[in-house]
Amino acid sequence: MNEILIIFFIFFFVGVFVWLINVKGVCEFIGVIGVVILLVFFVKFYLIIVNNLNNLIIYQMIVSGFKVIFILGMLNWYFVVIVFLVGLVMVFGMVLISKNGYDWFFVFMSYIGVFGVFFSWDFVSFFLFWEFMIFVSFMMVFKRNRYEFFKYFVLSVIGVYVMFLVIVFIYVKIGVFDFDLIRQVFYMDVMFGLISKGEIVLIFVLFFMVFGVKVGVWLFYVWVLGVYSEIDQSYMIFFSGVFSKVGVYGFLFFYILMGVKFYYVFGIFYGYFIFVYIIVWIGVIMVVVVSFLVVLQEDIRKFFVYLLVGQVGYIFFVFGFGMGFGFVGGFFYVFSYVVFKGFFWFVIVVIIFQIGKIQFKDFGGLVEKMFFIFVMGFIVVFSFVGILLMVGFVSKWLIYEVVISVYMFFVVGVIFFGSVLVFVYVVRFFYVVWFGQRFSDFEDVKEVLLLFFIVMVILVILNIVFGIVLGFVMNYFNKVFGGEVVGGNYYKFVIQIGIYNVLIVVFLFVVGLVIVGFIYFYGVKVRRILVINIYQLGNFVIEEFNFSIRRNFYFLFKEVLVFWFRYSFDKFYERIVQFSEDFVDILREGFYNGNVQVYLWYLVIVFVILVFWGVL
Amino acid sequence: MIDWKFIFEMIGIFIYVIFMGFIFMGIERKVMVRIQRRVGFLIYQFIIDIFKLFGKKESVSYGFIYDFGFVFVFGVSIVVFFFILIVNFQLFSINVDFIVVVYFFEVLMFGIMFGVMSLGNLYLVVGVQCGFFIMVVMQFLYGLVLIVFIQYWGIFKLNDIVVFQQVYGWSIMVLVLFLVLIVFDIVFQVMLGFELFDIILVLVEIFMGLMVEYGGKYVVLFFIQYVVQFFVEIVFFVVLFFGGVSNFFEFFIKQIVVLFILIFIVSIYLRFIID
Repeated sequence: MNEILIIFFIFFFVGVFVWLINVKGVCEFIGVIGVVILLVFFVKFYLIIVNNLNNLIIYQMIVSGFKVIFILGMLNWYFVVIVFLVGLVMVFGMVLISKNGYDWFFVFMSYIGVFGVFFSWDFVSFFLFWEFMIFVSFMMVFKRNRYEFFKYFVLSVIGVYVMFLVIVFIYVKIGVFDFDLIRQVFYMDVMFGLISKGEIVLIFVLFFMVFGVKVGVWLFYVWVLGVYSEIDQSYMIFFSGVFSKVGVYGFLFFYILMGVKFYYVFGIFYGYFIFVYIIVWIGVIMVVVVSFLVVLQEDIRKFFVYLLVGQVGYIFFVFGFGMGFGFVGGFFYVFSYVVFKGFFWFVIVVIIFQIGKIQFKDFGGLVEKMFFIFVMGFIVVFSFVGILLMVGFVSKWLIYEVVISVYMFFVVGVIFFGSVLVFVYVVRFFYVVWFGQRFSDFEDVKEVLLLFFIVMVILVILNIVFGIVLGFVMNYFNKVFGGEVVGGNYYKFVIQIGIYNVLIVVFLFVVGLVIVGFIYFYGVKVRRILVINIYQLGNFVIEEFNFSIRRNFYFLFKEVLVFWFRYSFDKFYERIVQFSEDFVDILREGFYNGNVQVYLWYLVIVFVILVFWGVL
Repeated sequence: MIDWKFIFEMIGIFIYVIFMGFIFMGIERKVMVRIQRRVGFLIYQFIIDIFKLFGKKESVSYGFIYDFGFVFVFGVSIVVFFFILIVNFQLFSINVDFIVVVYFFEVLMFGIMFGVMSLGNLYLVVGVQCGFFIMVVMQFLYGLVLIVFIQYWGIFKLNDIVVFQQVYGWSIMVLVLFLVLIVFDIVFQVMLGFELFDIILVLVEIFMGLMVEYGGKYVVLFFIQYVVQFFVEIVFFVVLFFGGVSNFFEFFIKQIVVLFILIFIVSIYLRFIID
């Protein structure tokens, strides 16, 4: 049997099996083992794909006269492995949180949906698996919070129907569903001009709606906060880490298939494609706006949700540049995003699980009680903000280089600004959770379990290794794009406009540490000050009186931004809903009001029209 | 094969940087007190202080992260130092580009505030909040400065920026870049925590007293780190706007010019005081 089919069947049978047996412990065991085995399976595929670039794994079949194609190539292999990395973190989270086989079943179905989208090489299968994926996500969301589910449902259903319309539209225009053929047609159409400018703009707007809803881009992120924070936190990582990547993947394909035509139709402004400007600025606005929202969150789950959305903004705008270098930047950010974000998420889940609280005001002073988690949090925050030698730094560096290389300097400035906001909000997270005076009810808080200790150590290693020895990933990209997009070797990156030698930075950092270590250790003995003395400042403060700032941490920002908070897309959509309700109410009361005499009048009017028309 | 010449060059430049950094700080303080018609102390007083503080019998630590903050920031300062062009010594500057250096400067501020904030004290946290608020605004200016600068020259490596200035004239001679210099000076003052932007230090002082009082070797670490940062940022200023330098005398003169610009602007403002 074909490998692609085997993957689908394995997921299906494992999911059904886990759901049926529904025994605590067994579900978790099968879940973890299943994902690990499949990850090994995909690592094996790597050798096949990389060594035989022209010999891809393909499965084709005919469904109702339409040829359905599935392909596993270098591009989608990358995304598949990303999914596995997220999935692996998720299953460990589910071991901690999940309650029954129902959750596990839909997790495996989610895998099928996502892989179906990734493997699809035609619009028929792409659409079907896209719908399947959304259905599965509904099943995970609707049992938690109906109101948030409704928002997600409405936007997703609109997205699905819009996708259906646009696919039909493309089929009517060019008569094919196959991605390879569509790409050829759109490339050739640059010369022939069969598809008009208005039609191209329509395709762009419709696809933007479809994928934008899934990614949660600015304009469409209204569902994200409620859904991500309300669903099971273990599934949330999959929801945010994978489903949003499926949206990104959709954008990527949209680019690959039709990008040239879009460049041509939208034209050029100030030396660069207008189409690129549109995508890039949506991503940039997303980064900055959402970063401000993160800064002001009081709930740790909402804090993390907005943080995720802001990071997707980076991916979105880097892919927006479209050229080979832009794609490499985007691909690498996807990878690093998963590595540091998965880690960050895991730290937050463990904190919530151990403490049982979600509001920032309820945390504080945990550093002594959960020192290991604190160290992990410390490392992940460093990676997240892009401190040197971490995977996060390289991804940020690549982003800057991409933007500078196309001379979009104002974008550089705004992104610089956005990166400082990242510093601002992670520091708040750090202070509120770990530092300050500890509440007396945290005395019995325990450290993390051994299993999670191991997972976290692995994630730390990944964050550091891929922050230093990046050549593996860059070589892969060079193979994907069939040339040397990023030069150098395993630890040195050379691009057209810049250079970053990680090994030298590591060496110099070690030199710096040796010098400072000498001064530090050679110096005199240190006397430690007790934590409680730090707060007291020489005054008498009883322990019950908590002398820390936890709520409204960045009140200054809040005061400055209060004007802008009056406007939000959430309020805008709610007004549209309200307006629609009122409008329908007027219609209902005016026409469908239950009065038989009025209905008789309608009948008379219809008859009169028919008589004058000559029908009767 | 080990390049001993290069290693000795590095060590020599490092010692020079620390020594001259202290002297510059002394000059800055001396000029400032003269403007205020006071006597002040010796130009090399900071060097004497360092030895005195290093010899103290006991230091006070406020915790692991507090210590780590110093160590980390010091380490990063040294990394930045090696990537800057100093006279004809390129050190490791060809191994990274402009963006990496700029990003490291940002990390320095983050590290300092991170270490201080870890104490959890109310006043310190208020200081850090204000600090971040200033930092966010400053970064926007910083970003704009870089945009104009890179847009004008169209290059991203420090070596190339110096070469271009030697061929086409210093950046400061161009009207647009001169305006950029004024903005950059404000950014510069924020990065170094000088007057008007020194609220972080003021709040730290409420809690811990004057910097010299809060523990022997920590002050040594803090001063050396600050000196390296101070020196490196002056060099950065010179490289960006004054066409780099070809010998130590020229280097010294240009640094003094930058320093005096800074002092004269800073001296206009009063020290931020909270009673």
